[in-house]
Amino acid sequence: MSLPNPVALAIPAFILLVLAEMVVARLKDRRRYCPRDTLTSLSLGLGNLLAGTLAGSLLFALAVGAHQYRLIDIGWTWWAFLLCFVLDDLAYYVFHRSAHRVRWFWASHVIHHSSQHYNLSTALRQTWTGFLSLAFVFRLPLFLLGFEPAMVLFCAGLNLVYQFWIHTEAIGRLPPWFEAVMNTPSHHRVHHAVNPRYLDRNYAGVFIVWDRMFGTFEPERDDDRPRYGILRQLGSFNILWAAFHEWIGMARDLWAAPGWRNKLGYLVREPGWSHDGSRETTETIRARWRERTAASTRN
Amino acid sequence: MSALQLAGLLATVLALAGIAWAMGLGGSPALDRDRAMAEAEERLAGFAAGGAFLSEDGVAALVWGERGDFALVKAHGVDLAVRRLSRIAPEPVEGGVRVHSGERMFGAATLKLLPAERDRLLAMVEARPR
Repeated sequence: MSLPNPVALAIPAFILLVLAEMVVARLKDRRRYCPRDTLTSLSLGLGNLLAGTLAGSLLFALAVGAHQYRLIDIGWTWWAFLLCFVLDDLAYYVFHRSAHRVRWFWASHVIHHSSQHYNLSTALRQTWTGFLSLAFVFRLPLFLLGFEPAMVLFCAGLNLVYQFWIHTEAIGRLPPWFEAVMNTPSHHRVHHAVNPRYLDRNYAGVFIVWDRMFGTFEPERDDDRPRYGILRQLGSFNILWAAFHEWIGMARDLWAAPGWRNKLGYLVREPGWSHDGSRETTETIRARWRERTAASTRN
Repeated sequence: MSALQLAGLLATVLALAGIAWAMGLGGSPALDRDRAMAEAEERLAGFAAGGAFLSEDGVAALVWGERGDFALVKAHGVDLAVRRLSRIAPEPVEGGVRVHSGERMFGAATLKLLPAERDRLLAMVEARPR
């Protein structure tokens, strides 16, 4: 069965919605968009499409190869599509959590977080090095289970298209039943925020239930407005720097680290980890923030 | 993706950024001394701000820490970006000083200062504990 590429089909809608959000920003808050940031985000999105085109055939061949070793024949049924969509979203959760907790995967994913803005153009700010970071391994279980490769890639495309609209400040909170089950702009604003309370939370793609199940959910609070970006802001709109800065930083750390154990640490430990403990991780930042909060409560 | 599609998408990217510019979106951050100090403390672990030199155009500040350390805060689009300065060697320029971050991609910032402020900054840097 031949299925369309949902992302390619959605591109005209992406463009129109970015334009619509710009109009809203013009009317409500001009600072929601910055032309240079928009140019960087959209250029990175274009580069991602190009990289995807180059690696696409190889990825599909790998998927078909893995499918040869499937446990069962699931085939093309309506319930297989539904199940595939849900399980693919679970695979996305695992991938995304790893992308924030393992520096090798973070080096690729950081591009998406490197804007200090949170708008629909940020949604398109995507990695150029997904293939290099081996992100596809997280979907291998689906092929090995027996889902058709074309079905999995179709569901993965739908998942990405869903995630586009949640990158906005133009939508506040949605009805409670929706916020309980689905990933929403509110939940995903938390994910993109660098406030200590929000760091490394809300990894979901489509269903926020995974975060609720696995203890990584944090609701957005009105008294702690999200601040976006990465802990060490780039301070540059250079496209190549945005795409490769973490790979370069990792290579430098790897080169300078004493001993193989430390070198390995710079590849597989969480971002911010250092062999001499001189840098900050999510855990140390959150602990310091908790101490400060507790001290100010006591006083 | 064909070359024609790629060219079309590239043109769209440029057009969207151009529309954002034509609509007057963006701006510059409202930077004052308090915000510069708060930004440095929030972004840099263990940094306790003692005060700040604020550029008259409000696009950069040099924050000094209570332990003799320094942080550079600069406008980045409508937001701010901060770096702790491991070495500081402000370069006197016409109407102020130029402070290098020590990182090529982060760059340097020029602080427009009155002569007395500039001299105070240079003296403070000179007298810092090494």
